[in-house]
Amino acid sequence: MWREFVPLQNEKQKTKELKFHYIMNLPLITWSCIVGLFAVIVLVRIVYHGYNSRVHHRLFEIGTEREEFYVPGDRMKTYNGEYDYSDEL
Amino acid sequence: MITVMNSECECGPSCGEVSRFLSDYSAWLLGSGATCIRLEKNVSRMARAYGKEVEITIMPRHVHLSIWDKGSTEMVTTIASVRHCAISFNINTRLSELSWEVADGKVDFQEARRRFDEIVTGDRQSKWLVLLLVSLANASFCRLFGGDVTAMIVVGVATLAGYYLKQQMLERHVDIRVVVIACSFVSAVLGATDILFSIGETPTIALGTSVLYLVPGIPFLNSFSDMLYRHYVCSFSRFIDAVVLTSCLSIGLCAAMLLMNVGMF
Repeated sequence: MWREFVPLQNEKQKTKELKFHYIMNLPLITWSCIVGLFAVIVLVRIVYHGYNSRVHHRLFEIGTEREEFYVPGDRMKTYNGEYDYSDEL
Repeated sequence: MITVMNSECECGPSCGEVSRFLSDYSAWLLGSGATCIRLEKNVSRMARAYGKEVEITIMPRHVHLSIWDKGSTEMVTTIASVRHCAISFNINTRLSELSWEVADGKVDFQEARRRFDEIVTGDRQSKWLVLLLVSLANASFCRLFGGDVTAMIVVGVATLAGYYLKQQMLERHVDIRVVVIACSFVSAVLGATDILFSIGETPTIALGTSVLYLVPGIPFLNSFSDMLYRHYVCSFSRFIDAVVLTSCLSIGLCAAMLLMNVGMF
């Protein structure tokens, strides 16, 4: 894609070299613009949806131990601590 | 929809009711990508089931129905505009099934009307699923044409971007021709990644297959089907639509090839 530098003989050759580099840069610039545009669009859509979402999902959250390590059979939060005969076992 | 009533019918569902129902049905069926012969058969089948005779004239953007009772010379004529909606084989199939159920006497007129409303309002596919499947399908096309893994990945990504752009632009009611030009340009530029960075063994196949998802295959097929059944007006109209869309695809692809310094320029 890139030609190494050679000493220029005359003005005509110099123009040819510049034109060549311009032509070879244009595809990369075009490709970068399209990719950049899409990256911006996707980012904007994600931020927009995240901001306007009805259910706000927090990325980081400190929960209680009960919420993090609940196992079926654990006493529920509503348990009022009354003495239960199964506690004797 | 314009209704011209020459007479009132008294038996079963009236000619006016049947006419309005069948004209809505025709408009949706044609708009969903059905061929003219399918429309003719379905409508005739349902009209006969209701004890009516029907003559149908199918134009590219309108459908004319004339319905009368058997033995009567007075008729109801209805003209309906073809719905501009996305091609949906789901709607197509379900409406055809409905016509068979009406013909077999499994549903009465009110139920048929209710089922029809349900079919045309309930067809909602997940756009993300469609996006993903179209990308995978186009990547598979790349493989079919001899592309390697790198080309397949590039084509998958290019299709993802192009189809997403298509969805967004169509949601904003941009003209379909502009949409096709823009999407083919974007997909072709991204499909030329292999050529630009000299990766993979089949870069030209990636470029060529990156725009295949935009080819209007169904309008072309329907055009030939209509031609076989001698619906020449609709056939020609569909053919021209397909040619215009293909030209737009070519414009986008050539612009991308020119800017990416690839191929014949």
